[in-house]
Amino acid sequence: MLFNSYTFILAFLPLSLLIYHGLRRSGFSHVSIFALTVLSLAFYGWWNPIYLLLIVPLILANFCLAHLIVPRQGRSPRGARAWLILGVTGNLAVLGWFKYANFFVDNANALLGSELHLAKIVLPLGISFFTFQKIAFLVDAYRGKIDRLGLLDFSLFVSFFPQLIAGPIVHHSEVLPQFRRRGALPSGYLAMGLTILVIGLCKKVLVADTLALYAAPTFDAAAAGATPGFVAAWSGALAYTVQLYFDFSGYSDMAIGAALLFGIKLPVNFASPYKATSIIDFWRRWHITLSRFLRDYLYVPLGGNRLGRLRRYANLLLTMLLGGIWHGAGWTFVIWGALHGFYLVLNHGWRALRPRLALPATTGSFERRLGQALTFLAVTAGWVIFRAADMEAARAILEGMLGLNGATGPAGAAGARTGLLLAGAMLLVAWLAPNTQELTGYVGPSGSYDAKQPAAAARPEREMRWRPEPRWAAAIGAALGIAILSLSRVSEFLYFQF
Amino acid sequence: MPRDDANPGALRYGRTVLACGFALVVGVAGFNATVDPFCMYHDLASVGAGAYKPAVYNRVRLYKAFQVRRLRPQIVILGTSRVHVGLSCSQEALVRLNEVCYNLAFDGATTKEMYAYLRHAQSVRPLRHVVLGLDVYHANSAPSFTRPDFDPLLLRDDHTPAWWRVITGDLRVLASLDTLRASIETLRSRHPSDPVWFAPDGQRLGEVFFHRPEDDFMRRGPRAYFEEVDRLEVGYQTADAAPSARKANLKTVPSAPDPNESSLAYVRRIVEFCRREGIDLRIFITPSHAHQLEIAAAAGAWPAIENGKRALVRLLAEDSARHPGQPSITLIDFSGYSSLTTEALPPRGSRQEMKYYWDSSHFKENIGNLVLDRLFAATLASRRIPSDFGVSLTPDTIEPYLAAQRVAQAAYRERFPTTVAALRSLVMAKRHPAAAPEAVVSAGLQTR
Repeated sequence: MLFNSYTFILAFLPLSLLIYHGLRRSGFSHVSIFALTVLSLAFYGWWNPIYLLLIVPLILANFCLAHLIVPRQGRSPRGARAWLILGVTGNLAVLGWFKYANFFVDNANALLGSELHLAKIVLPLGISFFTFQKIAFLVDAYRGKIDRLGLLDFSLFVSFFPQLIAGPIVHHSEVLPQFRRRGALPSGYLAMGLTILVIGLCKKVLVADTLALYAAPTFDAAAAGATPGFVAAWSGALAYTVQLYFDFSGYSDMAIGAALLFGIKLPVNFASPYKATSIIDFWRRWHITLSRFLRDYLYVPLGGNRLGRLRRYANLLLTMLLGGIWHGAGWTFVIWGALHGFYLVLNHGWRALRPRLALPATTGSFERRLGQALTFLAVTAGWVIFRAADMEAARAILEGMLGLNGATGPAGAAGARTGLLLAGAMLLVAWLAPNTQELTGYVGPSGSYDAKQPAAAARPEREMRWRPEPRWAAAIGAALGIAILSLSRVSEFLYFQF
Repeated sequence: MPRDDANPGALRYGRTVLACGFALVVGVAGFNATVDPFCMYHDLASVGAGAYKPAVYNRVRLYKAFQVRRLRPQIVILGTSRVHVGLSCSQEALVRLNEVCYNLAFDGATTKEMYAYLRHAQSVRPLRHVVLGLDVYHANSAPSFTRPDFDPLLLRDDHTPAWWRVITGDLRVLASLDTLRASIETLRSRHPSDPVWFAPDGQRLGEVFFHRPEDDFMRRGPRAYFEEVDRLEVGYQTADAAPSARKANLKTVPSAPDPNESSLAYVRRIVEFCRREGIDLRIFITPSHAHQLEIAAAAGAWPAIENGKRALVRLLAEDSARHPGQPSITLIDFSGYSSLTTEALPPRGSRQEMKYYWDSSHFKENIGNLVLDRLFAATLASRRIPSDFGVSLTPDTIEPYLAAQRVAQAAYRERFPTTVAALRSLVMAKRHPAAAPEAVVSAGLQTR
């Protein structure tokens, strides 16, 4: 079930809220957590019930492992390390099978000339996200950072439907205490949750889905072997750059909004990433919960920046490489990850070089603007590789962007100018308008394990600030109506000249 | 700590948001239902002058789904644009059956879509007769698919309640910005003088449609239009075989297509459905012009065409074996080389129309009438079916027929060598653009 579906918006969400709050109002807070867990599993099973046979045993197995690992009276139980290794490798093996088995077989065939063939493997929704959450939980259980173990809380932590499919990647310390809270919602959650949910829905349905119509033709044409011209290539690249941001951040907003309606605060996942003035800054603003997972559970354990500069750069490259392949099983994702690793190394290298060049430690306005432009271009080039069907298609588009295919190449020119205009308009919004948390003042869970979360410090002028007032209610209500009216497309079909 | 359930301001905010959203959705749906741009609730022919509905013409699948609900036919004709244009429910053989008939064919119909519309019509009212017009490419093992405007949530079937389809179909379409745009266009474009080429029985009236002044058929002339459609067909035939320098994409593992989802598998489903529901099914292969056969042959598709016909015969033979004592399902092939399908083109530069064809794909109603005569064994003194037009395909006739077709093909090539060479050049030019400049090919095609 997708957030941007009638089933979710008009049936599942209202019904779940009625059940959940009905139980809490009646004093059955503990039962409401059980109900929310069952509803979350129903949400997951709606897509394909067979995958409940995957997620439920995984929840039980991880809970048992956590039980075997978690220290008692300050001491790790016997074999805890082995259980931890088993848990981490087991989770990665499941992820590897579903996500990467075909990729490896395909590459083995290409390398060895063999014709190995696996049965069709359908990737279970959200497996990349909940695998990371479980691994973090097991690692922290081993480190003694789990204060209380409860099967119900753990089950909801893994399956809580707002964040189950596409994140944010929630850290247990952020939500488990909230699950244990009793009674009705804290003040303001309902109004803010509804508002953020509608903002996210509009981002996804009105902006991302519209831009997708202009991004796809260029990438499809390149995949078919065509060479997009300058306009078409930029139109496709920028349309996808905008589409991806509004799609993913919209989905994250919907997750945050939906969770708030249940009284749960999820961590912020996007903070105007295209306003970033460097690649380091970009990764603090883009998919924040993934960045911090990779930092805390991969980069730091690899040695982080503690083992010298060269080792630090190697760790950065490896972390981003693995982060790339986490996004999908394909060489384009590997190369995209490596590219961002390279960007980060360059960025850190430049920072290390600045004092030697006698440049000031702080950057001026011009340098920040230049940095923002360079970062945006580097990120856009990366998205071309990320979206392209393969590296040849990516090369064709990148060459088009450099003008090597002429101003108007043969492919993807139709609608390219409109795509360019729309993408430009939406980029202005992304650059100049306040983001969701700036607008609403949402700050994520209090006492979060990650104190560096972007706060709503830079809130806009008072007139632009959201408040639970009638005029804002009317505006958000109208936006909700328009988004619902946009959920269904009544397509045309033009055949021959008919 | 303050709580939301005790916070009237927060609840009021929530109620206002939902009320505004709901009011907007209901308002737009109500407006769309009143304007009815897709003729969901009014017959296109009955809306009267001044109520031009341009949005219907590009949403034929949607319109026909609702027409079936309104007319409740017991005879339906399934097929592509060829059938849509060429077959009329007013044809004597169908009129004689004395049931409500509807031409449920639409442009680019796939067998998967035909099956869905068949079930839809059967759910609205049990059918008595189905005429299924297949194009030669329908009988293949490629996966069947649906077109962008195919909307399964509009269609009824035997296990979905009608009221649920009102919610998932009617309400969803009405509560849509696309429909709102179509409503506004409809109100802006009142165009009472535009001829309605959609007949109430579902046929696209060729005489009206092709004779609109803005139509390419009229603007360019019948001959030039015929050649343009030839070029389009060359594009379709060569689309899948375009050369690619691309290396194997390492993102995907090739998997064998699901045989239950092939185009032919949906023909089988249609046959089984009609058997199960006791519907009289008659199948024919549409009579496109010989140019289409030559283009297919030049593109290397001739063996696939022959194998497709064999597969259809096999499918129906298996069906007959499963239903002993019941009449076999008729399959008549009109697609072969015959005195009608090899009709000569009018001279270059003339505006003279062909007798039997609008273009190389679409036959006129006079051919459609003959097709229905053959299918229903009707004889009319005013119409004589040429003996070489339409051959019943059975396990006994298929191989001799295919052999005879090869002979007829050779004869056609001898009779029209320049035309055949030009069509082959068109195919070659599409596959190897550098080898055969378009201008040369076009000149060749125009020389008979």
